[in-house]
Amino acid sequence: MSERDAQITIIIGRNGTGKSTFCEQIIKAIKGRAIVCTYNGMPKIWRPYKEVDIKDKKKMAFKRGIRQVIAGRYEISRNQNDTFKYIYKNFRNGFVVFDDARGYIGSNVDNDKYFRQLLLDFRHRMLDLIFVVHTPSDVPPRVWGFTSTVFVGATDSLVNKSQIKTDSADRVIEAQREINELYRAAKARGDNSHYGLFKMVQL
Amino acid sequence: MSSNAKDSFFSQVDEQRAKDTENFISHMKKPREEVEAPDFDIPGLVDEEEESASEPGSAGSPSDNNALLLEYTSEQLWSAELILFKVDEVIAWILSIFTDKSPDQYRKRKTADSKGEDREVQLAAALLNKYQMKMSLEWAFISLFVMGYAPVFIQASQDAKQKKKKGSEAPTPPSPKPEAKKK
Repeated sequence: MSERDAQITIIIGRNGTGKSTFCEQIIKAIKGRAIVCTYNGMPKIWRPYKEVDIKDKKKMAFKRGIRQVIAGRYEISRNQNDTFKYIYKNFRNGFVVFDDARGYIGSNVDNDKYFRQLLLDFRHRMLDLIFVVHTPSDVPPRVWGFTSTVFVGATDSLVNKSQIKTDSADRVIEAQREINELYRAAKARGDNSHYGLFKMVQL
Repeated sequence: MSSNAKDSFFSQVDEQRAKDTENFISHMKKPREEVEAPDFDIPGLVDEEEESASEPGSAGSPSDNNALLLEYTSEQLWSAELILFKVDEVIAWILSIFTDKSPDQYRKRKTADSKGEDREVQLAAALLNKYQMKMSLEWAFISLFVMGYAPVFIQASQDAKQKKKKGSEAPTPPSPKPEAKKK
């Protein structure tokens, strides 16, 4: 079987679009090992998964399945969270999902040297990073430069080209427009078909 | 989410989107290529004891640091737009005092919204990023209040001075002569 590079993926969508469910389905289908970071255990979809202490390198060596990481537990102060430090030091060869990342990722990549290093080293560490966010601005602008794939769900937040620092910003905006229309039509039908409406854009 | 909705999670997608997702999954199923990391320790990352709080943009060449500072947030961009808009307003008003013309003639920014494409706004946002200034609502309100009313207060003060000057230059009305004593 051929090999591939580890990559960064972003899943965007407003509340109720099913972005966390979409992410869960993808990881389950891939059957890899993954840690899912949330700030405080929300959204609920990740709660059934066993929590893992990222400080403990041995526990981070699990072979398969999804483990939950509650980033709030590693908060030192308002401006310092050690989640990235322990992920960087103790996790290799797997998926790292940052769900609702705004709560624990600063707006500037350089505010956290371990987060910055994760972005620079994710291929060496064989880590696929998946950011699950509400709007494009929920991930620091520089992350867009490293991103390979975006799944665009419905979001009314206006996408500003200056937030997506990549040549493909227009395609992301176009996908957003298309999905927003589908989402509104599905909502109007009232048959729950608005869940899971995502369009893939390769950057 | 109801169980029905969850069961039909992927059933609502059209063929192309479903195919894209399947392709993505089959691509991600491939093993990751092992990439050898360069053989050196990155200072401050390996040894926990050596950790020190480094300021953003403190390492690297000056050009690298400037590039990092251009990664401002949308909030910083918004603040920069607002600040430049208000500064433009004040400058236009000051210039209008010298020429006695309308301040609108000297306005460079007719609207605060630059759509993120204005270089001056981008540079101002980078400066906000450099000094890590975040505009709280209180700060924004006070700044707008001061910048909005400063010209009016200055104008009022000048008007008051002119009024006083006119008052002092005007001939004083003759004081009524005391009536001659009736003889």
